[in-house]
Amino acid sequence: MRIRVRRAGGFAGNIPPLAAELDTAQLPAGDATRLEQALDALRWGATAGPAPHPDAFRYEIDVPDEPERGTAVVQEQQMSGGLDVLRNHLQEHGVIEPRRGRG
Amino acid sequence: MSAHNHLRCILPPSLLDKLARSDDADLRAAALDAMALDNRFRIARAESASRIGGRRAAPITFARIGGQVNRTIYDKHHDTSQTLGKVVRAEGQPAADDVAVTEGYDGLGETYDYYWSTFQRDSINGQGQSLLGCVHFGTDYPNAFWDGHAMFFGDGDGRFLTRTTAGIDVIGHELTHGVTQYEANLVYSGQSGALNESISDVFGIQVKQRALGLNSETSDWLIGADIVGPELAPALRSMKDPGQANPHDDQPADMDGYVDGGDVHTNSGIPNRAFYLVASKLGGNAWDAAGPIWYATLRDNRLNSTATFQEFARLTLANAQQTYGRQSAQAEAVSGAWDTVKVPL
Repeated sequence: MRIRVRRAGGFAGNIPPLAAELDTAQLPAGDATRLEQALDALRWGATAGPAPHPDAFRYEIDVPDEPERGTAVVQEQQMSGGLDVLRNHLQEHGVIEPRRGRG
Repeated sequence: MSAHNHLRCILPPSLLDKLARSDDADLRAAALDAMALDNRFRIARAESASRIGGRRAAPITFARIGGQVNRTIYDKHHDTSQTLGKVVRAEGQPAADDVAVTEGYDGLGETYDYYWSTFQRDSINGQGQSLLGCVHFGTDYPNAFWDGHAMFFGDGDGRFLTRTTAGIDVIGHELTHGVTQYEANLVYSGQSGALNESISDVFGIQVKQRALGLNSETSDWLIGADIVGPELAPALRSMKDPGQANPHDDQPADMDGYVDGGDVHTNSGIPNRAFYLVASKLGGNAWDAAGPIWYATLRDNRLNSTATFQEFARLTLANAQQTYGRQSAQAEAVSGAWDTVKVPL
């Protein structure tokens, strides 16, 4: 399963989101199972709630091969358990998205 | 002069008044000193009571002299729970052998001193709230934040951000989120969210300037210059040139570049630049006039939690005119700054 993750916000929120893609087929079986179970438990397609506090990170997760799921928006305090793999992968391999165009 | 005034205790005003007319010079001086202090408390109580509406600050119920910081630094040991952790340095204790602890302690002290010496504001809530700083939050955590009660500082990932306590402007920024929470409590989305962020940068940079002896001309007006890693060097944001701090900096410099639905740290570039323009136009220290105008606006009961840039701008002008005069250089600087960033007054 291919998974895309983006991290936005934080003290450096004026920097475009950090993005990465991960394929669970590349993970150890245990990590892949934990991650897929954690993904199944997310609320997909729900609108993003308010930030829990100033300078908080916000994560956006989607599964490119299952577009019907929509996007799951996850606050950083929920990026634990099986989602640790995703957060760590993003932190290590993430790339800053291109800067938005100016009006 | 005695360091301790024995009359600074509960005495009826009539008795203090009688003592103030005493033939004993020392007794007379002590009574006058106590009466002045009592008057200061009455003013503080009255001011607080008049500000309850829409503000989270509670009325003052206990007299407090103020000016005495109370810091506690906690070590999260890389845990990510938003609990305080283990106390590693309390107020008055000697420096620990951990640079993040020392920086956090000193930075909170510099920020407290800025607010106290400039505005006689006694800590985050104006009533001496303890300053709680938690260092080593998470593993390689590239962020710092205020959670409504305490400040949390990550060690950085080394790519984007480094040790966040190294930036005194960052510490000032986070503590100011607490001040904003107790004042206008600006909603953290849209333009009010961008104002919330801008106010933290505005006071964060002043804390840094004051601590380093910089004025409006000698400051680089960069935010986060001391905490960026190689991918975001040389700084996170520029209040002077929003959008030019690093190759990824997404801040607009005026309303032509306003990003609908943009991050609150993105659109904050517009009011950030307005503050820079006022401070640089007036010269000297940013906290001589520009800072007090912004602070008065933050505390202004007319500033709603959902304020727009225009509403905020109009209140900065109103406060500048009220404090310095309608035709003053300060009022003209404020008006000109908002015009430059294309926020109509």
